[in-house]
Amino acid sequence: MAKTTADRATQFIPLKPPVFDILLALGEGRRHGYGIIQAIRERMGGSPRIETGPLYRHLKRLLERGLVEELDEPPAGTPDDERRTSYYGLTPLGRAVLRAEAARLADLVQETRRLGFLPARAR
Amino acid sequence: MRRRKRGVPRLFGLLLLLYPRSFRTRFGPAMRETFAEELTDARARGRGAVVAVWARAALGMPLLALEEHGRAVGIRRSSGGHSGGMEMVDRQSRRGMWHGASLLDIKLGARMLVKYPGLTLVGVVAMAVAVALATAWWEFSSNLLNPQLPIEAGDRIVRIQNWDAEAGGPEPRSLHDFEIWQREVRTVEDLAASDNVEYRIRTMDWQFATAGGARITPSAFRMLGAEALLGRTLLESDKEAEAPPVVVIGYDLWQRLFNGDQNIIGRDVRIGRTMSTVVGVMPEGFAFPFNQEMWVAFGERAVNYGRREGPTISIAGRIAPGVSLEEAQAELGALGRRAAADYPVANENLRPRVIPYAEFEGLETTVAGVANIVFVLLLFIVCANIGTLVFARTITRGGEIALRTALGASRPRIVFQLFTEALVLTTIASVIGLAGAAWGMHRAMDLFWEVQEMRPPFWFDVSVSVSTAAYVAALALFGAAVIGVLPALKATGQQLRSHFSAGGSGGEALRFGAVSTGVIVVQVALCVALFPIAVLAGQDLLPERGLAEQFAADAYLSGRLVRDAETRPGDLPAAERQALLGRASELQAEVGQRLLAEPGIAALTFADRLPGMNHPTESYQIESDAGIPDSVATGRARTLAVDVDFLRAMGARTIAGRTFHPSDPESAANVVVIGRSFAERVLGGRNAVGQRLRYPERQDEEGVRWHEIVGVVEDPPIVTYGAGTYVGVYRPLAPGRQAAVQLFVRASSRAAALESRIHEVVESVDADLAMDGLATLEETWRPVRRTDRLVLVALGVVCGMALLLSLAGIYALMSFTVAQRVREIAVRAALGAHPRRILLSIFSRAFMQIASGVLAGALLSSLTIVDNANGAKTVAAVAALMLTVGLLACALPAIRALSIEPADALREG
Repeated sequence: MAKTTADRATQFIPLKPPVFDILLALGEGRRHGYGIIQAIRERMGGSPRIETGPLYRHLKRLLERGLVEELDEPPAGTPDDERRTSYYGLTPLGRAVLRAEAARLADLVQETRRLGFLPARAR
Repeated sequence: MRRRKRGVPRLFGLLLLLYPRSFRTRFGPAMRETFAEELTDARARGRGAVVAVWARAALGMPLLALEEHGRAVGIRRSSGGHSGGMEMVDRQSRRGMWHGASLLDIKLGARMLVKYPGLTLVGVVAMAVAVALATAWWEFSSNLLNPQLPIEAGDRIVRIQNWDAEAGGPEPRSLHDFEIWQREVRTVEDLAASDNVEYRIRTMDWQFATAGGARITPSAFRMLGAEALLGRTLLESDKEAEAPPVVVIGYDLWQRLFNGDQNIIGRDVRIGRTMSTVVGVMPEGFAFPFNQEMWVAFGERAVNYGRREGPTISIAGRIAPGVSLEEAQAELGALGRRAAADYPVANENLRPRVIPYAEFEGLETTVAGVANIVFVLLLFIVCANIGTLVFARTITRGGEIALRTALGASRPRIVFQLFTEALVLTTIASVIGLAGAAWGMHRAMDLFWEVQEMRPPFWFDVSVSVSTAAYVAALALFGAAVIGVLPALKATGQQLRSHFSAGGSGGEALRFGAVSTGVIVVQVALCVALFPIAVLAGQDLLPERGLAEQFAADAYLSGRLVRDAETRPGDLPAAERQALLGRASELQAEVGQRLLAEPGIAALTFADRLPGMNHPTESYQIESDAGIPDSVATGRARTLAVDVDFLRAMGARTIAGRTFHPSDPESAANVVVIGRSFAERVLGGRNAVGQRLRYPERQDEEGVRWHEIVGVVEDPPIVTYGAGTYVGVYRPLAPGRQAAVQLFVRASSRAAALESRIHEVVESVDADLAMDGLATLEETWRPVRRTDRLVLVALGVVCGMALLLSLAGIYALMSFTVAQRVREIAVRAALGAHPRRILLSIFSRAFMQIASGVLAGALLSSLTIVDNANGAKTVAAVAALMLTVGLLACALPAIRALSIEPADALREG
């Protein structure tokens, strides 16, 4: 019996933090390499960050595993002089993995809260 | 706001080259783009951020690239643990040692680099410097030995010389032979003659430039297959006596003097004294025959001259298709023999030679080879040092090696792994060294040509060639063999393995005393011997302290007073030459008088050259008391021919004797004045005045003349400041000896403001006179200072690296040998030996090793440095430093050993 996308997604869990960062950056829409670095940095408040070398190492793995796809076209509305060589976006499997990892992290947070290491959520 | 993309420097391209091709093809362009934006972003945050981005890329990318290589061949990590690699290596080793295992070794090597950052840093920096030096020399010498002309089939272009077997040099006055060869030679086609001339070219709106040019036969353009960028090249008809004078100019001159004017063709310019029409502009890079920028037709005919008379020419041609160099040589040789038979007086000793066009005779293959060996030896010393450190590290990994052996890994397998680990380090260092050499060579050569005041020959290109890249790869392998294999063989030897099998608890004392003593002694000796040389070289480059304040280089203007002439004085018959030089000296005197009358000029004087710019040394001898050349007072010094007023005008105080009298230039007494530094260095305490000096290489009709020293002067600041080193001897500049002289003007107010006025005055004296390169000394000497600084920095880096490496090596070896004896020391203490006695035995051994090194080094350095207080001080300082580090290295483990409780020592021992 063929596995569903959600089943396949669980094989990739847990993700390394930089991989999760990259998938999250692409979750907002397709981006070029430097766009991913910028998105991660903004989310982290300036640092820590990922550099060119490690970024493409992870992208290569994600492309090989079918979590990310490479696109030639920039997002709609990009001016011609801002075009880049390559853009990257999430595949349906990539979205599923991101969702599964996020759920795992949410469960962890919930468990941490239950144990009293985090204040209870304000209601 | 989106930022604009910026260009990515070449270094990033080199880093990308480390990745597998498939990775590069797929991600290279995007990575370049991303990195460029990272850099742009970092620039906005400041220099620190830029350095951080580069540092992370330079350190991180080689490791990531290695990982990609591992993946590219399909080796996947089966275990996530960081120590898991080891069992995998051994599993693979059972399948075949050389297959696949090396990829994981590479990975382990990369991890080692990260795990021992101190060793990595010292090793990579030291090796990178050594590789950079070796590579730079390789590239430079192969450029000289195997030059490639940047034109199609450039290897078929040859130079033909009429070699004078008697004089041991080429005879350049070979117009007669050239015409015969041009008619008769079949193996070499399109023979061309050229005569290099320094031209002054003026446009109609009084812009002017001095440019190296050539009178050249139009056949040269055919021979080279060269076509003009604009207009045309020279034609055979341009050679005719009645043809209107025309000129073809080079690309750079066109840009410099005419701002790349597209309508240049047909414009008139004045070249020397002749009005000529520009008929062509050559493409960028064309500078035949050497580095020329303008070409006029060479129309000289042999019929107007006797044999071995006339203009000095160089001859070139293209070897005909299907003909070898030897065949061409045979044909020319036969013609040479015929000419010798027909004209025995002129041609008896002339032997035509055919040689590759760009062959350089100043550097012999053996000399270049020996220099290469010296650089490889330097690399060997550096690697041996790193190897020492790696050995110490390997010993600490004894447990791992023993475990691997137990798991079935053979000794060659482990040695191979350690070699691969070292290869990772040497590869990174070599890439950095290669990049450094490429960058440094360009910078150094640019400065070199600027200081030499000339353009490089058109075929000279120091970009990294394929052979250089291959050489660097070989250096990396060689380095890895020295760093990895020797310590690995030692560390996996029988003695050591039994040591580890005993649990490393000192069951059997580990002895490699002889090796370590040898390494330490050689290490110390080399440092002690080489440092004083480096320090003295550095001292020579530094201007004397405080001189910069004393001497206002921007208050002086200097330029060369030249006179346009159709022919070089040297090409003229003696009587005409004398008349020309006499006229030149009258004009020089008149320029001097007129300029001194100008407001704003405080002093004015002449010399034969500008000190500090490409000023060669000459060998000299000083007469001993017995009247024969003193074997000790022999050496090389710079000599400056100066106007009788020069020393006074430049504020040189007379220390002994006198300076020049107006009658000195003409007097038969041949007097000279020497500078204080020269007097001190050469004559020591002897009274210089009255001694005699001569130049053995300078010989005239009367043989080698003696010159009497009539005075000693304080070195004038203009000379010491500019030259960075001293001028030894001043001799009077005789009028009528030089067609061009160097003029020095001291301004009473702003020097730069006087420039245009000086040009006007000079041209008003004679329309053919001009000032060349007139500028303040500050501007003129700037490239010299930059070169000195560059050499100083390079010297500092090399010496610093050598010292650091030696100290690290000595420290590692000494502390290691003592640490091996910790238990023995503790047992001796437990058995009642006095601590002072134990320490004494440890220190005396270290002291003996270092003292032997110092002694050997001092002996070596005494061979090269004679009587120099600074040299002795440096020897002492280096020796003290070595001794301190050595004793410190022994002290720490010894104190630790002594602090072990006697009972514990006895129980475990």
